[in-house]
Amino acid sequence: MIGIEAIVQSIINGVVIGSIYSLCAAGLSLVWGTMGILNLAHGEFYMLGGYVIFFSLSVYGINPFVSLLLSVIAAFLLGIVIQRVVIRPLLDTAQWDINIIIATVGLSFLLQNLALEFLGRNYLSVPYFVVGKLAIAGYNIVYHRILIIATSLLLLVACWLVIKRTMMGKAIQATAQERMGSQLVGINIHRVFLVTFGISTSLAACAGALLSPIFMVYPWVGGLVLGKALIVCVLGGLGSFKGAIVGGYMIGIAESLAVLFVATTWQDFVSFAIFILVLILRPTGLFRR
Amino acid sequence: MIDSKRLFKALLEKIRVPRVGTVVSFIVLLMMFPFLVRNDSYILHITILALVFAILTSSWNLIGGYTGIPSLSHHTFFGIGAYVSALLAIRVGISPWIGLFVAGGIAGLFGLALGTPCLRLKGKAYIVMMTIAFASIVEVLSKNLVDITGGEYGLWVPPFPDIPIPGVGVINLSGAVRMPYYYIILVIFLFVMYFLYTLIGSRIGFAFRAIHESEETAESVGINTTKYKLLSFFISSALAGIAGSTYAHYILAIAPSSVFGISRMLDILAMTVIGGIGSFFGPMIGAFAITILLEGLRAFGGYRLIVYGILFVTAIILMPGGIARELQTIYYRLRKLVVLETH
Repeated sequence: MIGIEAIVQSIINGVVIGSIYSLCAAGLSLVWGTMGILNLAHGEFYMLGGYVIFFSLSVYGINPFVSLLLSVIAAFLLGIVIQRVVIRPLLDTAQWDINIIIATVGLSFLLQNLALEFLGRNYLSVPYFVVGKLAIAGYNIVYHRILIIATSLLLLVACWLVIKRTMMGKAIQATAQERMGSQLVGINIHRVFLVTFGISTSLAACAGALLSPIFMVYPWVGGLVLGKALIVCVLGGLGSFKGAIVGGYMIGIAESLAVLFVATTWQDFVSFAIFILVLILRPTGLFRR
Repeated sequence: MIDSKRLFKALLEKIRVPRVGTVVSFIVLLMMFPFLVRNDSYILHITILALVFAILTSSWNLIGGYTGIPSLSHHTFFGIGAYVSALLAIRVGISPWIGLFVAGGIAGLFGLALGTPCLRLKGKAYIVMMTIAFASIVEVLSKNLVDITGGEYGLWVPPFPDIPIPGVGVINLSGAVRMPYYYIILVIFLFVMYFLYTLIGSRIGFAFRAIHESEETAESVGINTTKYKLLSFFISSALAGIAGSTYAHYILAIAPSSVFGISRMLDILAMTVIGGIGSFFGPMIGAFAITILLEGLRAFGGYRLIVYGILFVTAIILMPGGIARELQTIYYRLRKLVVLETH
């Protein structure tokens, strides 16, 4: 029999993992909503975040929060380079939708192999940002997990405000709604795409950096994360920022609870089966009418 | 003195042999190939693999390039074909010759099973996700159903049985001698390519391309898009299954990572894109180019896959039409040059 403590503990873990899923899925969804692009190399930016934090924190011993900032900056820069060099030239080709999907698959393969060759195939571990744990009502929560939840929420709210309140955010919304119309009123859509892509990749890197003390960092971690982010996006409705956040927490909690009932080897089977069911029954997501 | 312009023109006239002639000479070349390379076992091995991948890649091109459905689970049908005919041979004792067709049929049915829910999805991103999910599920199943599939370790697969020819002897297809197998795979390859060529030129092929251009327009001129999309799924998956079966009975060992792994799909994409997506000969050119390239890149050691990745990404940016389109452009440019110069 599974006790109530185990269930509560699972829910707490689920919220932690869910925060990470939300960060990843929000970026993926943002790029889809604005540019109409499915970035299948999204998981590799998560990996990048993990590696930057590993080198900065574990190897060079830089302050964890400075390290976090470094990983975000690195991912933002790589994101805009990739947007400029790989994606922008493909946007104008005849079969841009298929071409970009294939290009991001190739990119993901390239980044994985670069990591494999230059950073090794080891599973690297990163120390907690803040040591210690909080004890309330018999439950122990490591401070780092609270940090993950708080930082993700803060970031998501910040992104939300940027999109809703700033000029750039309004330009992003306008481009998402009507690309040609935005160009007509003088929005530089390529700059919007650069910023959107950069935000998306830095969110993924931030997720990678935050979670690496709990899960390890290794070259293939991106594939796993991408799969989960796709499930979340479908659940929340692809292109919906809000949906990605709600979906992220839902999948995170559901998955942590599922560990109690399903053997780990079958866990992926269950999540992908749910994924397919959602695609069949509600292809536009659970929240969109 | 030789007039260089006239010589050039004469040369080009030579190049402009009828398409049938080119194709026939290629077939003759392929027929004579083992003798040209003096039965070199390594070269034949690479060529056999290139032919198998040419079938696989061309079959993806049918759905991805012609019908425009970005399925990322084509390697799964390759794997299903490989496992079906291997398991039939191991557990039931059915000859791989029959297994080859059963594998194609079953892979095709799986294709239909995947295609049906894909019909409802609006937007290519959703199809991408659906096919990724399907591929992941089959991969997990192949690893977890240890009693049937042998789990992560995979299966040892028997070769195609020997063919006795009265009065001549026995054709050994165990793979130890490459030449007989080369001819078997060549015959299958030619059959598949002939089938694809006629299919693409037929009304069905036109319907596929119409759906790619615009589904609404295709529907408005009376094309049953549901039927043709499912047909596209069925045929391409069935051909992938056949390719998988020939692969399994040649390599003689299959495992989830070698047939269901995403890297196989990556090869299919790289071959199609570098060869020329949506053209008939492109994927074949790509399959040969990449198979040979990957062997050649072994000199790079660990950097091999990095070079491969860079080539892949650069190719799609710099030549989205692939080698096939580039060759065509060069040919037309040359012809235009000569026509302008001589008139």
